[in-house]
Amino acid sequence: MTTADPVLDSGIERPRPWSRHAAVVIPPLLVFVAAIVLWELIIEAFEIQRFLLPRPSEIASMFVEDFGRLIRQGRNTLSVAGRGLLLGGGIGIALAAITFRTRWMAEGIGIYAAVLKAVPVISLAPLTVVWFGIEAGSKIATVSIATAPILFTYTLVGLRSADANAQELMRSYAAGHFRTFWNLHVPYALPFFFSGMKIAVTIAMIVAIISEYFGGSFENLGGYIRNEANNVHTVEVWTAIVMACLLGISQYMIVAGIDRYVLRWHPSKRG
Amino acid sequence: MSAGASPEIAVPLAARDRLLTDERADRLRSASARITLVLILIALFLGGWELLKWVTDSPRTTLPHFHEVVNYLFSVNSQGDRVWLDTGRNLRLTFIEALTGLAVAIVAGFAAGTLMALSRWTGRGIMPFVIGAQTVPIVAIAPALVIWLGTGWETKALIAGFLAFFPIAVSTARGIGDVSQDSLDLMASYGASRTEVFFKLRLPSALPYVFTGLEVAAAFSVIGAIVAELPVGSQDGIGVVILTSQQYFSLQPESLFAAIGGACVLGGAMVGMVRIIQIVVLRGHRAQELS
Amino acid sequence: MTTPESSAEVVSLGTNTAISFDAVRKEFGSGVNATLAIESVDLEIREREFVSLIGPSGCGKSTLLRLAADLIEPSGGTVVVNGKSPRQARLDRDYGFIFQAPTLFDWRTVWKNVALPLEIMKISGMSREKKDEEIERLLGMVGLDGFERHHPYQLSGGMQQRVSLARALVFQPSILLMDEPFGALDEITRDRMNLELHRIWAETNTTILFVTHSIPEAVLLSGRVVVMTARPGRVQEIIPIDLPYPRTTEVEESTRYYELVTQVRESLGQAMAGGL
Repeated sequence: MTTADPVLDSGIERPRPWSRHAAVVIPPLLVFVAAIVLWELIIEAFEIQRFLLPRPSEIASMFVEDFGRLIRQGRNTLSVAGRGLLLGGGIGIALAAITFRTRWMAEGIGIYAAVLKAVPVISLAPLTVVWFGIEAGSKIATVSIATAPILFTYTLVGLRSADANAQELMRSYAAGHFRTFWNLHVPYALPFFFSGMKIAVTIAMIVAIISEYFGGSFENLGGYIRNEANNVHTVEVWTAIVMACLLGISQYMIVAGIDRYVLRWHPSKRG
Repeated sequence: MSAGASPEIAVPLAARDRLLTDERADRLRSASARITLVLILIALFLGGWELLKWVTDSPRTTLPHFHEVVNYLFSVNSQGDRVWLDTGRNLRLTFIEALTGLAVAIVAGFAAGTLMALSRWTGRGIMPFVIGAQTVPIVAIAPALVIWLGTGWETKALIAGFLAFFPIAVSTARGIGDVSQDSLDLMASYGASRTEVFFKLRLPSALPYVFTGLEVAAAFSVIGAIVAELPVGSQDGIGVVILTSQQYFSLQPESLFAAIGGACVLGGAMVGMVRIIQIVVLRGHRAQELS
Repeated sequence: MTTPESSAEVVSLGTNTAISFDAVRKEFGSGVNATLAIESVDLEIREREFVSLIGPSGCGKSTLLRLAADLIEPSGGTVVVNGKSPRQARLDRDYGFIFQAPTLFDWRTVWKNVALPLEIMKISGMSREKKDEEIERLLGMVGLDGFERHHPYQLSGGMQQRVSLARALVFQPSILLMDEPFGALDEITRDRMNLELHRIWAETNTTILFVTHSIPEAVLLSGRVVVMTARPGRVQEIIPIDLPYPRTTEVEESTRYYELVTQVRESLGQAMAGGL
């Protein structure tokens, strides 16, 4: 009987040493602090007026003061972005799953997807208002239009990336389409799906804000920015920007975290 | 040359020529198949438009006939201009803004991406912010910049460039950094200098990545230019046309559709341009799957 | 190195034909672009036989294997597997296929990779405990006890290929089709895997059709070695290997072994000369 290969020892996962975490966290922190200091100094040195570019300290204190409202508005924007992503992403993924075996169909939809990606989505915002009303409906529609092609493309490429030998293996087991799909194509598509999601969550957030900017309630980040920008309340605008960034980045990090957890088995994620 | 390699070499010239022509014929066949597919897709789009109008029984104020939009394009507006000429003029301005912005973004994004990839600490320090900055709502920055720098086309080009910068920087950093250790070792075994490693290895292998980012950037530059035209004070550009047609929508719904159509064509043209350059530049590279 | 307790001293072949190729031809592509991969191949493999296919690259060894597996269909002639069409044999799960790459599913543990065919095939009359027992026994047989919960990326190439072997054996197919299974492994691991495979073959009553590039490997393992010509692939010569069983390291050092290796090498030389 053969014993275990010594080769294996090198492959076993070890916890990351603390210093490697530090190497990831410290440089951005330094850059952040330096940027804030530089920002303050520039305003000081060139006496930049408050309505053009406020000081970070001012933005921070206003952010804390308005936190309750910003969270409420952020939640509304987030809900629009989330529902749009759910709808658009769902359509994109479903189309990819239906067509990935039929080359001409996938290619045809792929051309539409490519066109949609090139279309400046914001130009569609006024039209969705006509069709779906000035409130959430139109904004959800715009977000879906922006996110569907992204998830379609990534899912399609992922589903098609299934290893040729593995497909033959499933065939040799006489496994049906459905089993092959779940056991083989879906796992292969997952890494691509997550890459697409990382892009789509950010895009969904931006598009939601842009379409809110085009009209409707003020009780969301885009509406608030529109209102405050019209009144040249630059500090308030900046607090909304900060809130939007925080929400966007945390969504990105949540997706990245799920990605790391779900794809623990993936060779690219080791060590 | 070893004898073992001879079968490949010994393919008679005539046969090789035949293979080449076959390949050309194949390419031609696939090209014509693609054109047919695109024509079918356009027909499907127009058919779908009219079908949607018929099924939902939409009035002209929700969804005009396609031919009504085309008719509108050839009509004369209140200033006595042909509408399509006027739209074209505005599109040209937005195109110049987007293109200038894209050019600036290519230079700046490529430089920043290279720097991030080659200097580990700079990369680690800046990369999170480059990714984070993509979540900045451009609509919020644009008004401030317009107040600051004026309503000239240069401001709009700058905003377009701001939006296009990030995808280029990120994809360049990824491409320049993503070189296998084996290739680096090979270059080292030749005694290659840093410059040679960059130009002979990193740059060529980064190109497919860069172009993927460039395509996104091209689409973003158009969005940036349009957003920049939205704040009060702008007179020209397709963004302004969209805003005005939105205001007069109930009187002249066709104008909004025409304006949006124009913006879509502009976006398609920018991305298409990048694609064509990509195909020419990357002829030798393996086809990139994700684009 | 290995001294298996139960391997047969004399390996007795069955009386039935496991796989037969009759005037088989396979063409890829069509029109002017068509390439003839194999032509008029006649070959019979009996039950319990271990047959190796060897030949220059591109001679259609793998094509032959894939035809038997119904992964591709012949352009002419007939292939019969266990008295049935290859398709029926595939649907009846008569054979296990082993690729050169281990082809493990990265997202499954070692245990779940081996369990995959059982999940798909829903083999009747096999309780859960029985299945678990079988998986455990096979993992033991390929020397992987203790690695059940590992993921493929945590294993070396040789260990991954052993998982793939266990996976092919778990549903007890009567035939194993192996496409250069150890081609990507280093010499030492490969030697060990060869001897293990041979022991498993002796223990399990399976028929093995084995594609390889390596002359010593073919001679050491097989009852017969089939030498094929360069494209289009034809059977050049079938060389019976009259080495004693069990095949161990001692056999590898015998004079007869070297004679047979030389014989196969010369036949292969002729096959390549004929192909040019």
